[in-house]
Amino acid sequence: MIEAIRSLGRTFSRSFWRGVSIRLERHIGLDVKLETGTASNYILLGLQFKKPRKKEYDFSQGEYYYTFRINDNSANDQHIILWLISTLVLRSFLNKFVFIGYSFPMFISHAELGRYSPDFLNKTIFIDASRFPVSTLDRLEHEVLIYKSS
Amino acid sequence: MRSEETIINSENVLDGKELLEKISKTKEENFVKVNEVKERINKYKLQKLIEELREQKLRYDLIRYIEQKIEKGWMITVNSLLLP
Repeated sequence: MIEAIRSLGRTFSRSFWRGVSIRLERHIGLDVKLETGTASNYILLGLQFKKPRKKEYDFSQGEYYYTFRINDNSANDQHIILWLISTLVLRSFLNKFVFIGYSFPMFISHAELGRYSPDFLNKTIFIDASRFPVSTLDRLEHEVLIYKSS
Repeated sequence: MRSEETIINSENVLDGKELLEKISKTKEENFVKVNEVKERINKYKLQKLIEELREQKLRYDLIRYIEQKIEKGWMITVNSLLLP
């Protein structure tokens, strides 16, 4: 992904991922941030990566789906934190681009990784945390089901 | 686990290529500078958001949980972590 972003043009040519330590991750709910690293250092993305827990077939829809879990940190507050930050950023920068949310890679096994490599971006879903409804804010884990055709 | 189904509108669900396309089509002046985040995101805006959540009948214990985080300086931590 970083290579694809760097290739978008001069503004992005020095982009880099900035990792967040596990200790600090509990405060902002992010695993990494992507900054441009230029004189005008822009923040493009803040991501929380989730791993698929299972892959199942939905007979009524006729397709596979992957199940992920959110708000599954030990305090069960990660989704609340991400939602608050994402909503604040969105409201503070109307009509501007910044994405704070989830990355849901649809690879559950090494075999799937190998099958789709190197085209991982097509098989990874991104959802801004603020797009989840207020009803998802609580101290419980939630399952997110993503269908292959998403 | 509570069983309640929510469907996210498909226009808010992007694959990696769509996300990249969105970035590539954004004019440079419409990106957010890292230091602007600190200037614009503060605990007063967060408190306003919490008031809205209160009006939307978010559970009292959850509102209190967020307020306690703010009292412990969470917003300062967020700002310092979002900045390099």
